[in-house]
Amino acid sequence: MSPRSDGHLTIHIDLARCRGHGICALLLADHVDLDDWGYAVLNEESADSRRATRRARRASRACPQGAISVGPVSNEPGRLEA
Amino acid sequence: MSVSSVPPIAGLGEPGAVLLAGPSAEAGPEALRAHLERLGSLPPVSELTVEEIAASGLRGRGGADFPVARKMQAVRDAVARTGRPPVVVVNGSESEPASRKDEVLLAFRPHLVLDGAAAAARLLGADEVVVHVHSASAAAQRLSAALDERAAARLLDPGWRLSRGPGSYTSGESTAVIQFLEGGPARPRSNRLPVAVRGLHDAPTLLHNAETFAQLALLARAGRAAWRRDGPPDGSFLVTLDGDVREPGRVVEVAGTATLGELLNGPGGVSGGAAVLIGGFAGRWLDARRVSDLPLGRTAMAEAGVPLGCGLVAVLPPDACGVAQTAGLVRWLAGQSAGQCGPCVFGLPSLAELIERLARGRPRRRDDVELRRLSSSIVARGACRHPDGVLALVASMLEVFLVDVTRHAAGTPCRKVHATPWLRLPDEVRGVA
Repeated sequence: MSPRSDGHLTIHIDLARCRGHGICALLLADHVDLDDWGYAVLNEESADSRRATRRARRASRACPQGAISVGPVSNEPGRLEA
Repeated sequence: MSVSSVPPIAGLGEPGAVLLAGPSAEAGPEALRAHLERLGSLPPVSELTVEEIAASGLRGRGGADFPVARKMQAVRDAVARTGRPPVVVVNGSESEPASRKDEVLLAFRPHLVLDGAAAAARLLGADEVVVHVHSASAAAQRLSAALDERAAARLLDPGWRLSRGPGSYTSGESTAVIQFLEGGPARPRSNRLPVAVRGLHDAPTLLHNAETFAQLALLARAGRAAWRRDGPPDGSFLVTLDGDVREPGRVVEVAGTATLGELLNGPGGVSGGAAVLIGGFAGRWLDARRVSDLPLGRTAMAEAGVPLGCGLVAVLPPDACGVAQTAGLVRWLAGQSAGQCGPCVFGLPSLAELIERLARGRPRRRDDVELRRLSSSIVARGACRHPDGVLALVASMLEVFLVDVTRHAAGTPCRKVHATPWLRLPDEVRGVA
């Protein structure tokens, strides 16, 4: 849960908010797929280029549910809560 | 007293009990005066340190077995970083339908749980402790009385707030409790930061279940050497026995070294059984043949692939069909979704249908492939771990009931009992012992 040391931003999709509009899969095709029910599947959380970061931010703004956030915190090192 | 001379497994007030030591169930809740006479008052903060807790190896008893000291350190670090005062939350909601251990603690040893929360609050410098329980729980009333006793006794306590919330399955999850305490719906939410870092109203929040705080109360008094005694290396722990046992719903403490076989053959236990459901409704099946020498301990059982979770140990009768019972559990669990995350809302009912087809002996031709596909669409994609728990239950069914699964898949008639839910799948209110 610490900020990434390499300066890259990470994408986070809140599945409790996602309603399957699917806009992110169009705007962020390299990072997001849709599952059988149309909900976002994040394949790659790292936005590791300026282009990727720009697209991730655009997808974040475009999501009608506000389910996508882009930030310096990695989703990776395990959840503290369960 | 040497533990070897007393039973390693004990009920409320029985010889050998540590957490459950004190008066018997007939005596009702232990009053503050009796509690303090029995255990002495809580020592000052300097005697309980995060280092001491870390050395004790104490892990959370709500189901996830997360190291308590690491959570505490995370709260401390967040306080240092943000300057925000921390909060302590006692999660007494125990939303596992068959689990009663936290309710027994709250109802019969309320001051032990409250002492642990007070000790944690002192250690972290928290001024407020929220105690959250089911509104239907009888423990709520007893806690209210216990808090009145403490106020009258003028203990060096934090400020207490008693919260009563809904009792549905996912509402007891930590982020659901936090969201409810903030005035929102009691539904899990997806936090980028853990509750310890950003919890109740964004304050660093130490949230543990009732048993964890009760353990802290003992640790604060005894130090870790006495806390562990000769019992399991990770401390004594509570179990709720259910299913095909002599006394379903009985809560016992495993205070010494014992095996699962000894637990099930002891008072309130059972002799036979085909399989045992361990850890909760979304737990894991264990083959009864593995029961006899499986060491009873939270760490040991997690390592054996059957984590104790909420502490439920439920025995399936020898004549009941494990596939049919799993189908019933999966259907019930699918209905317990908080209705937020797509993979849970759509995936779990599809999974329930698939297991029901198998239980009826009428699977579709590609259901084996469909099961794998569904599982990969559901796993690790919820705001909480509810869907993952259901998948683990199904995976353990495929392993433990392999012979039955194969027969069902082939459409061979099943001679075992399918009807009569073996565990109560409750919507009704649970009472106190």
